[in-house]
Amino acid sequence: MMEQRLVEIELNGKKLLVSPEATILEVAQQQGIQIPTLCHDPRLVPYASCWMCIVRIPGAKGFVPACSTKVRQGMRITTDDADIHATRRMALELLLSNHYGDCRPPCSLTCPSNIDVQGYIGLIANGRYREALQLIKRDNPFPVAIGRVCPRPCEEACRRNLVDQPVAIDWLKRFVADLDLGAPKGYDPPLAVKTGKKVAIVGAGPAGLSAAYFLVQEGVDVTVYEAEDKPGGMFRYGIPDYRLPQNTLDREIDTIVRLGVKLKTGVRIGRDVEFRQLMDSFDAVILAHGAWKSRGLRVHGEDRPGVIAGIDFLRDVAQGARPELGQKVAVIGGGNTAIDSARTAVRLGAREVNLFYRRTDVEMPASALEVQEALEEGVQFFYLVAPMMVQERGKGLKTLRLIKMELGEPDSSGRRRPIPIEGSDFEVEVDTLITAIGQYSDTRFLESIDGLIDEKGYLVCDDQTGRTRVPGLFAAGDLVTGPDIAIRAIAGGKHAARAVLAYLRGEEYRIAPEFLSKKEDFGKLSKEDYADQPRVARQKMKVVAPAKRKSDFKEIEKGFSEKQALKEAARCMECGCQDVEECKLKSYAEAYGADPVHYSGEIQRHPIDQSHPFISRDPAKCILCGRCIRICLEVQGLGVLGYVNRGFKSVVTPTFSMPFGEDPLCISCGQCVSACPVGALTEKLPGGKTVPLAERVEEGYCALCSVGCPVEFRYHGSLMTRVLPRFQNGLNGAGGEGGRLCLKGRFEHAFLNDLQPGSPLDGKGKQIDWKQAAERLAQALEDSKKPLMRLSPYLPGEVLDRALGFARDRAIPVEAAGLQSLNFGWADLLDARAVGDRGGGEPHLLFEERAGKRRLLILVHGLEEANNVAFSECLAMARERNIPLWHVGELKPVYRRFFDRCFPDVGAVDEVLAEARSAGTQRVEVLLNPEMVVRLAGQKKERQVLQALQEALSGNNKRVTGRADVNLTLFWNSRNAAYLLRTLKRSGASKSKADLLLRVGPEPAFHNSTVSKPERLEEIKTIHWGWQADGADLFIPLDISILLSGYSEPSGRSPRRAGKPSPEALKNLILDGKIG
Amino acid sequence: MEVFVGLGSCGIAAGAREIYDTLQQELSGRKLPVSLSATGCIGACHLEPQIEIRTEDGGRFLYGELDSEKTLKVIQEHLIGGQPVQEYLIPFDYPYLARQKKIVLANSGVINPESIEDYLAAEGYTALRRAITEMSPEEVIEDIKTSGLRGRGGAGFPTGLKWSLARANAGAKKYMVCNADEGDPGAFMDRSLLEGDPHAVLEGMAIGAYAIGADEGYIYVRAEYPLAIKRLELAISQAEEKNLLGSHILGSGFSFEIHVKEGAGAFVCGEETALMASIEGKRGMPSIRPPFPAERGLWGAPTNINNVETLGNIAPILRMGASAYAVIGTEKSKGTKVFALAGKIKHGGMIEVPMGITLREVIYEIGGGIQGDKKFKAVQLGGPSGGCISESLLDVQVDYDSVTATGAIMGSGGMVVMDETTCMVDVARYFLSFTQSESCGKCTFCRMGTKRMLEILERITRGEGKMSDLDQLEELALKVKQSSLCGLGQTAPNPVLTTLKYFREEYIEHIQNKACPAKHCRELLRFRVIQEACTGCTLCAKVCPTQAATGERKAVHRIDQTLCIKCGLCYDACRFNAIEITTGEVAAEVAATGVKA
Repeated sequence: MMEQRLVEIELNGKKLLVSPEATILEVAQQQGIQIPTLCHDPRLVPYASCWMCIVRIPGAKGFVPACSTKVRQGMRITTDDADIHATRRMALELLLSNHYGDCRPPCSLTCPSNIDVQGYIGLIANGRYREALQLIKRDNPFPVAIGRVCPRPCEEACRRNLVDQPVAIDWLKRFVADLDLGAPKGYDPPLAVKTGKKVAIVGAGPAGLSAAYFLVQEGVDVTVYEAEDKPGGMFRYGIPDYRLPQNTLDREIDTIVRLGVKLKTGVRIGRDVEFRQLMDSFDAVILAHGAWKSRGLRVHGEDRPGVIAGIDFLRDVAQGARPELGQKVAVIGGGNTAIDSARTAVRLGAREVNLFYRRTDVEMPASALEVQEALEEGVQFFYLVAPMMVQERGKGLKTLRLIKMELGEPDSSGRRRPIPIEGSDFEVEVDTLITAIGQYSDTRFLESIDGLIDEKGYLVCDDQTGRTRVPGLFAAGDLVTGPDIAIRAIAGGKHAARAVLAYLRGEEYRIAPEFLSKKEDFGKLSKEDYADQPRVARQKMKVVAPAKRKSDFKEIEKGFSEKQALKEAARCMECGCQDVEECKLKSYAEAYGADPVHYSGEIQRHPIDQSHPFISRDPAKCILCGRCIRICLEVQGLGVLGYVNRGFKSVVTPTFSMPFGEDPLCISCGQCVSACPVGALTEKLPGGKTVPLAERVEEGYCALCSVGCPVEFRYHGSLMTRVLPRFQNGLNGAGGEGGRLCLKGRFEHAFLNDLQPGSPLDGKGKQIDWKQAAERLAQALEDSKKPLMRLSPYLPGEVLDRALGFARDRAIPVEAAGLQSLNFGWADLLDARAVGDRGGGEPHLLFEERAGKRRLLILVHGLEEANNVAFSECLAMARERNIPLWHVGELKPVYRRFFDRCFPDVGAVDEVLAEARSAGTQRVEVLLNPEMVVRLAGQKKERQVLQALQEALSGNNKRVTGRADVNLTLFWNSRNAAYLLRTLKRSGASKSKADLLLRVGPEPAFHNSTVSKPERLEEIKTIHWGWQADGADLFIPLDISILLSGYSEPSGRSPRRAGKPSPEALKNLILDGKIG
Repeated sequence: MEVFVGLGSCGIAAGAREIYDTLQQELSGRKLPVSLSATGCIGACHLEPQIEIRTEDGGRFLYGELDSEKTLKVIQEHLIGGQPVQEYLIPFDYPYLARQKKIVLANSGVINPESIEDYLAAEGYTALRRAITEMSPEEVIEDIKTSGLRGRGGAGFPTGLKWSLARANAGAKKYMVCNADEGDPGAFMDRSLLEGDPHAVLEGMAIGAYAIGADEGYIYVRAEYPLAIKRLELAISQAEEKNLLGSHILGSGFSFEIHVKEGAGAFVCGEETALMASIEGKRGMPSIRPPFPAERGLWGAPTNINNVETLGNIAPILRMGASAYAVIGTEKSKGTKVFALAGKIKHGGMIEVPMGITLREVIYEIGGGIQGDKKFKAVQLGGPSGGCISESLLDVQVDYDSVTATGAIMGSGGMVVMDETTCMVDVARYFLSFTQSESCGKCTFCRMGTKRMLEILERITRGEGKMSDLDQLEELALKVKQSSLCGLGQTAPNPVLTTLKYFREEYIEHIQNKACPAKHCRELLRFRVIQEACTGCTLCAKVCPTQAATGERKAVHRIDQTLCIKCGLCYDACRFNAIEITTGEVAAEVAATGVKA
């Protein structure tokens, strides 16, 4: 190594000696100093467009972009100060002011527990019900109950309201929750190791049990105290059975209790157990005993018999009581307790149920659906009426005096305050009056603790985390929020559990504010914004007819069928950004405290381009960093994307602004997506419905050709979501430099989602078990006189080895699929190293340096299709090293510009090589597609071409060049193909006709027409991934784990990956010796 | 006798072709012993169409503001009768002409630009001949350094130094590029020179190519300059024919080939890295320097880029001698500068003045002062990258450093004079809307920052501004300057910053009083009828496109404020000055009175 001259610089006051070739950004990274950047990509020539990486250098005109400024002797660099920080924030705010999109969907943001609604609906749409349930249960342990009773603020926020009707979010939740409840083994979250910490929870309602659910998962010993006989709280005693049957609730509560939660019912704190005692015996206590006290009407006569509190009424009924209500029932109030009371009264036989509410239906808090159902059941609603007094009329009959109201100015709740209209009072007769105008919590047993209860009787605590001023004491649910919807109590329980966990670790829990871009920040959305969205009606819930249901307490909603659920889930418009977890703009906006509306103004609106089969393009989120444009041009050599227009109207578009999917240049390599720092370019999920999901990474190699690109398989549960290039050693990696993958590797692994490991199929596509499969195969072998095994050159090495062993043991002749007609002389040539091979200590063929030799690169026919990674790598290398690049054979016009010479006639190979020779080329690299070799081999004229090549390569062609100077590289799984051919050469391939064909791996697709058909009736194929079992009498799948481990080599050579597939996995191969 | 017709774009636009045709027709019809030639811009664009008559005895007569009728009279009386038509003559001591010093434009409007012979007769290509036959490249560079010539494109980088940097970079292949992508609104110096004396530019390029060691050159010229392109291409073929361009020029070892590349009209392509990208066939977008073009330019080869006017100075410097040239101008800014004097000026046009002249001299002596003798308000120098200079700075000398000190820039030579009817907020808005729509879109601050600044300015001109907007405007302006890759972004805020500096009260008027003192910003204006002056002639009602102005004949008219769109037609139409334009508080009162005005 030549000694490199170093320069001295000062970085944030620290003196360093660094290479003058390094940029400021690189030096800073080496020093562990993070400089933010959006436009920089280490694979690309520095560009400087985002201006996030600005640093200060004395004497420079303005700020200096660190990404593209090289260090110089004596340079003094400041990477951060108040001004730089402010400028970066300004850059972010400017970008955000034209970044039109939603980080997260409105449904999720509106949900008090922020359930990933878009995520679970997407999973449902993709048929992943178990994963959907798991996702729900991450934030809500009560999907069965909530899926029935929630008033659904999410559906109010659903953008589909601007198209037709909201997505039936809640019913979809209920669908997967009911499936789980009905499954032989329901989902249980994994439990952490026991911590030894003990937490008591007061109240087994939605909040208390939720807190218990989240705490027990973290290894906490949880005891829940419940004053009533049964757990469930408001779920059980506040919601009638016709909405949520108690036995259903029991089963859902069991999913929590069975995790190890200790439940003590019939124990009232303050009566049966002293509160102090709890505090003393547990490490922490969560109060979650709800709001069970009914607010009085504060009118004369409300203490009379026959005037009852709605919440008490509902509890009594839930406990089995059937109180005598008389003929006429009046209900006061407009909340769900009021409606539930009225509907319960109907079911108890009241002839006339009237509900009086002091505001109008617009202000009424009860959910619209419930009001609708109550109306259907005969409840009558009277608005703008308030009670004045109750008078006894004897025989239980009472007179209720009411007064009419009008709406005045809005009060503190934002609702217009009702004002009595003087002299408008009137009377109605009632047998029973049910009051349901509000509830509050009983806090008397806490009054002894200083400062815990305020003068109004409310608990004093942090309203988000439930932390009280007493160390170790927390609260959740209605106790904190006042009477509210169940999902808010669940959210309270979740946060209280987290606060307790933090407390037990000696930390303090804070809910970190998340930065969010929202479409609403750019103005209210209207129907016009979604005018292009196709209308699809909401699925209807089957309900019991009013006439039938009003006489009993049976559940009235029947739930969705699977068909309905799939249809309904497909209606989701996927508002939330696919890139939400990876978006650099979002993470920097958070880090720099950027305000998305600081520079609000005009925005560029563009429709989302979904024309591409694998990529979704949303130009409205584009921040014009140019990375997609540059990676397409600089790394892939294509130039599909480019800038159009100027100034604020600048936009990145495909060629001639055509739909992305129609761009003839695009080869679907996915590089633009991997380069995009925001959600402007995102992958479509293979399942159909694209949603952002938390992913698990499995490292592997793409097995779809012999290049063996390192990839990351991304999974959510069992759903393969994406395949991404894996960067090794920082930036180098994948098939070639710069993270190249081809269409196959990047987007064609969707079949992994279709594979069901361990399910062989019979000839009619019916699943059979492994034992049956083994028996059938053994029988077929026994029946066969002339069996033949055909091995595919696509096979991974382990499989190849085992298959050959299987055949050898049973003396079954072997042939190579698609290679039968190939002269075995090719085996030696095929043994050329595979492109991309860096195993065995040998350098990549294409990057091998041979000093002093003039080189020429010849690509032969079809390489761009067969192996685009190698193709684009060749283009890049030829450009970088100024190596002449020739092409022989047909080539798409779009690629011609990259070549110095193009010879359209494949037959020109001979002359081409001669020409190279006469031009003084000392070393020729020939790269061609092996399928081409095979195809050419079958035709006379083209056989000559191959011969010319072969002669050239073997040194027999005097006109061309000596052997050592020509290198041939093939693509496909050429290494294994070579291995196979050499093995067959040694063993002598069979030309005999067979009566049984064992096909291992796929035939090369092009070769189908020339595959020799066995004459015997029974044909048994074994097929592995990606190919259909069509026509086979027996289909035996390879294990997915082999695919995940990717390309591998036959035994005897160094495997390129760490760890082989497990023996368990291999056992699934029919090739395993257990058969026969 | 010879007759020269000024056939620059300015002359043609004013009808000079017609004059030329008239002359041609009359002269050939009468078989007069008079030769007729076309020439470039004669300079006094405000007096176009112009012709010059030169007599055998050396007499020169310049006629201006001609039309066919006048031309016939000139033919009759002067060409035939030998008597100059005094009433149409422009005296040569006319200050507009007398105060100028022509070096670059010496041939413009004098010789026929389409004739290489004319150029050769005016000592053309003698400098090139001397350079390549008698001087080493180093000596040429030394001469240019001695002359003190600085780049006329705006930034004022010393030309000799630039050449020596390009020379110092080894490379078998180098390029010499002429930047003729003149894009500033109101600027037409390059066009005039290319139209009037294309060979001067070619000669300058060839000398430069010789000096730096280039054998190939490009002239990047706007496609909107068809006449310049035509004359350049003609000049190149003429020069090649005479072996003044091409291989082995004049038998020497020096070869130089020039291509004309037509730009597609993107302003940013005047920036050198964007210009090179455009020549290479890419989108015109600037890239970061270093590497500078002198290190890695066109197709990776060392490249030198000079502006048209700079190149126009080269041959004259070698001809007159570097020291003689260095006498002209100020200590740090040598030679002359060409300006396109425009705006609310009496005598506008192409002028060439020695560096060091004051703005007052340019505006009041050469330009003859303000049109309609209105009050001077500001002069805008340097186009959208420049700034507005107020009256208090009129005695500033025109040289690179003095102008830069005001916050404006010398720029390529646009000089727009503004009077009291010009709203400075609107001027800032105008220039910023230009730079915003011409930003290449690459840098965050330039693309988005100028857009948000523009929106603030638009708000202010609509009367919707807040005082805090001024802070935000300044904050954005500063960051856009600091955080942009190329000159476009770095200078785009200049018009805003200079108007904020010199005319801040005008911004405040717009914001606080909803008033546009120049009575220009439409949203802040109300038109009303002055009752005492109105004669009821009904003219205003007739011209009003929205029926806002109404009234009975001979009765006082009125303007319905709810219908008025403030187009100003009534104001222009009224012969009795009975329409008043109000703004600010008065406008608010007028608005309040509604239809009863």
